[in-house]
Amino acid sequence: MAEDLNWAIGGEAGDGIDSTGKIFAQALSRAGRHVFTSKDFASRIRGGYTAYKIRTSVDQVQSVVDRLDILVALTQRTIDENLDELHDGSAVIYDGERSWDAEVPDDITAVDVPLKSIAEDAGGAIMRNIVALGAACEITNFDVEYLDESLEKRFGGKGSKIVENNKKAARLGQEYVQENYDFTDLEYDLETTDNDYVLLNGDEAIGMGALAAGCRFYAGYPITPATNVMEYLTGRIEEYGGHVVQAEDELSAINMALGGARAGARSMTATSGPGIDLMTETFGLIATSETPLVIVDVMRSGPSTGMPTKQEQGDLNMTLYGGHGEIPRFVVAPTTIAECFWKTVEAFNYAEQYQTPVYVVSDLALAVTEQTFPPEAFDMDEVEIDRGKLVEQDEVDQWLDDEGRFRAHAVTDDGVSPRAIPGTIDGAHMSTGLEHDELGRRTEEEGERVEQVDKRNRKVETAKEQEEWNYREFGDSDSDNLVISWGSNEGALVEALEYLEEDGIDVRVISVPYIFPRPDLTEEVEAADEAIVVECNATGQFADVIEHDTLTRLKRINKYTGVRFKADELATEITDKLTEEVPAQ
Amino acid sequence: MSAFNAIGDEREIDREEYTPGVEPQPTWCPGCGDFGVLKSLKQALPEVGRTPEETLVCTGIGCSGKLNSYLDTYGFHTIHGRSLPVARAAKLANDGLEVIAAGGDGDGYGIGGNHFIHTARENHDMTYIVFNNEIFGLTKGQTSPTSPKGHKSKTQPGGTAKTPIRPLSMSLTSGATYIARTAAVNPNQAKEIIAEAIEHDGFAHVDFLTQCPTWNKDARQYVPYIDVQESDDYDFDVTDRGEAAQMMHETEDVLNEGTVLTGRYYVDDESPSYQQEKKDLGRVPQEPLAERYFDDDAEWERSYDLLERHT
Repeated sequence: MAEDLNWAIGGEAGDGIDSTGKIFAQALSRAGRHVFTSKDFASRIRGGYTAYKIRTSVDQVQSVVDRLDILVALTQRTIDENLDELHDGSAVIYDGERSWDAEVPDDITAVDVPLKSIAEDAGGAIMRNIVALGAACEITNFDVEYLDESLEKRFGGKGSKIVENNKKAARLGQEYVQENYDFTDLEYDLETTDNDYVLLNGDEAIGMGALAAGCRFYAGYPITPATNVMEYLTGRIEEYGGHVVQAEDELSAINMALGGARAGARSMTATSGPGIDLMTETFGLIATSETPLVIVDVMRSGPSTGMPTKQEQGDLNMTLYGGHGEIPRFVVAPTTIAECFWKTVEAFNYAEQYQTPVYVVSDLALAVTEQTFPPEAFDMDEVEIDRGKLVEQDEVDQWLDDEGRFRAHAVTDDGVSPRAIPGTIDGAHMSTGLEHDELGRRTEEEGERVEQVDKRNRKVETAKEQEEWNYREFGDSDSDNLVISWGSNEGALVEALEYLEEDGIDVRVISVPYIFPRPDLTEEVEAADEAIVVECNATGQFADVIEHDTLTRLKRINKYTGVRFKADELATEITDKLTEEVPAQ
Repeated sequence: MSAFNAIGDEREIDREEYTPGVEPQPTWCPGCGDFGVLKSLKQALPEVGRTPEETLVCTGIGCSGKLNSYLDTYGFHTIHGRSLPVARAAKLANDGLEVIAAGGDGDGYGIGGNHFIHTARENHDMTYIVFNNEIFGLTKGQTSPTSPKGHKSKTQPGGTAKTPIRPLSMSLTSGATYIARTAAVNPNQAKEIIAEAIEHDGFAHVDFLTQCPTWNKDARQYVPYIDVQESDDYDFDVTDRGEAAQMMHETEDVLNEGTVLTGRYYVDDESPSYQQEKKDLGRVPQEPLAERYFDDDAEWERSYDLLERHT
C-alpha cells in the first residue's frame, strides 16, 4: 500500500471543525487522492472537544489507524487528546497568539502560526481555520489551489467576496509557513492523480440508494446519526417527483411511511435505536398487513440515550426479533459506505417482492465517515427495480374470488399475495393488524389462522430459494483461522489482514451483510480450526446467532467503548484470540 | 398505464356498493351510536360522488375500528392511535384519493392525541371522524379522555378527578379548518356534516357523539339535542375564530350538564391545505407520487447526476 497521511483538525464544538475538515477532504478527493474520514466527538474528559480526522492515500483507504501526522490544534486539549497518536515525525499547527500556552512535546514539530491575525488580514478572524488549511498544504507539499473549488462550494452562497477572502486566507497561511519554517526533516509530499472520485458518507449513500431505487416518500424525525438521510433526501427527492415529511415523532414517522406505502409509493423511514424502540410498535402491523417498507436503523451506542455520538452495533437483536408475536422480517446490514447504497436498493426490492418490512441496519461509523470511491462503485445502470406482485388494472381480475372480491392476502405457493393500490377498480379490500382471511377480513378461525401464518413464513422460504444470501470474503480462503464480522468492521478487518500477514498469520475474513435471511456458515466454521466473531457490542449478538446456526462455540472480539475498531488494534486482538482456549461447549 | 382508473371515475353510485357481501350486518351492540356514523358515511359518500374504489378509510382500535368491516371501500385498520399519520401520508402520496380517518375518543384524544394536534396543525386535506362515546367500549367500560368529571367506572370506582378533554377547542387551537359536532341520534344533520367535511379542502374534524348503551348507561342518549345553527338561542359566525372558540367552550361546558349542542363550529375555507401549499411551492408534484411508477418513459428517473454533488 502506498504511503498514507493522517491529518486532523480539533477544537471546541462550534469552532467549525466539521466544515473545515470536509473542505480539506474534498480538496484531497479532487486532487485524485482517496480519503477516509472519522470524527472524534468526545472524550476522556467532559466537554466540547471535537475533531475531524482524514486518512488519505493514492490507494483506497477504508479504516482509521492510531497515527496522526499533521494536527491542527485550536485548543490545548486537542493536543492532549491525541498525544498517543502523535509521533516524532508529526507536526502540530497552532496559534501561539492565543491565550493558552501550547505545550507541544519536544519530539514533535511545533508550527506556530498566528491564525487569527492572518485571518484578520485576509478579511476576518472567522477564517482562521482556512489559514490553518493553507499552512497544512505547505507542510504536506500540497498545492493550495486544490482548496479553491471546495471553498467555492462551501462559501459560494455567501457571495464572491467571501470566497475570495477565504482563498486569500489559505494562501496567506501557506506563505507564512513557507517563509518562517523549513521542513526538511518532515517528508510529507502529497502525490496527486488524475482520477475522479466521489466523496460521500453512509447516510448519503443510503439516501442516494433510496432515490435510485425509486423511493418517492420519506417520513422521518431527526435523530443522530440518521438525520443526514432525511437532509440528503430533502430538496433532492422533489426533483424526482417525491416528497419528504418531518413528522411529529417516530410513531408518526413510521406510520406515515406506512401510509405512503399503502398508497403505492416506495416508502422509507430512517432513525436510530431510540426511534426503532417507538417504531417497533408499528412493525407488526406493517408485516401482517404485508406492506412493503424500508426501515433504516443507523445504530448508535445505547441503551436509552446512551452515548448518542458514539459507535455501537447493539441493535441486531432488536431488529431481528423486536415486536410481539411471530412474523418474518428481512434484515440487511451494509458493510461499507458503497454497500449502504446497494443494500438500500436491494431492500426496496425485497420489500416489494416479499411484501414485508425490511430493516437496513447501518451504524454511526458508516454514517459519519466520508470516503472516496470511483464513480463506477455506484453504477446506476446496475440498479434494477422489481415491484413484485403489484397488480395493475388489467391484472386485477385473476385475483378475484367467486363473488368478485379482491384476495389481498391470497394463500399462494410462494407465500406472496397480489397487491392492489387504492384507486384500482375492483381492487377494493381492507387490511388489518388483526389476523385475517384471504380477503383481509378479521378471523379467528383456526384453519385460516394457520394458513395465513404459514403463508407469511413461506415468503422466507421462497426468498431463501430465489436470492443469493452470500457473504463478502477477504484474506486467505484456505486459512484455518476464520474471522466473521457484520456491519462496518469490514474495512478495519481488511486492513488488519496486512498487519497479520506481516506477522506471518493467515486469516480468512467473512463479512456478512445479510442478517435475515442469512448465509449458513456451518461449513465455513467446521472447516476452520479457530473461528472468531468480531462486533461492536458487549454481548456478541451476531456471535450468538452464528453459534445457533452452526451449533458451535465461537470466540468473540467485542468492543463497546463507543469507538470503532482500528486496523492495527484489530490485528493485535486477533493474534491474541487465536491462541486463546476455546470456550466450553 | 395508470393503476388508478377509479380516480375521477364519473358514474352513478349506489349506496349499497358500500355494503360488503361478507358480514353486511354490523355486530355493534343494539342501540350503539356507531351505526349512525356508518349510515351517514354510506349516505354522504355517494352524495359527494366518491366511489368505494377511490376512497380509503383508515381506522384505529376500538369498536369504531370495525368500521372497515362494514364499509366496503379500500380500508386500512391501523393500530391504536395511529390512524391519522397513516391516513394523511396516503393522501400525500395520492391526493386523488378521498381519505377518511376514523377512531374513538380514546384513540384520537388519548393515545393518538399528539397525531391529532399535528394533523390539525398541518391542515392535511382529509376528514377525521371521532366516535365520541365518553368511554372505552371495546375493553368494557373504562374511563376515557372525554368521560365527565366524577364519572365512575371499573378503573375509577370513586369517580374520575380528571376534567374531560375539550375536543372542539383543542381542534381549533391546533389548526383544524372545519370543526363540527354531530350526534348519532340526529341522522340528517350527521349526513350533511359528514358530506361537508369530506368536501372541505383541509383538515375536517367531526366530533361524532355515539352513545354507548352497554358501557355508558350513565351518559345521556344525547337527546334532546340542539343544532346551534337552527336554534334562536345561539348566534355566532362560524368563520370568526373568536366567536367559534367561545361557542365551543360553552358547548363543552354544558354537555356534561345535560345540554347537547351540535352543529358547525368553525369553517375556514381560506387557508390552503398542507399539500396545496407544498404544491404551490413546487415541493410536491402535481400528479400522485405513486403514479410515476406507471409511466413507461420515466426509466425511474435515476441518473448519474445524483453523484455530481459528491465530486
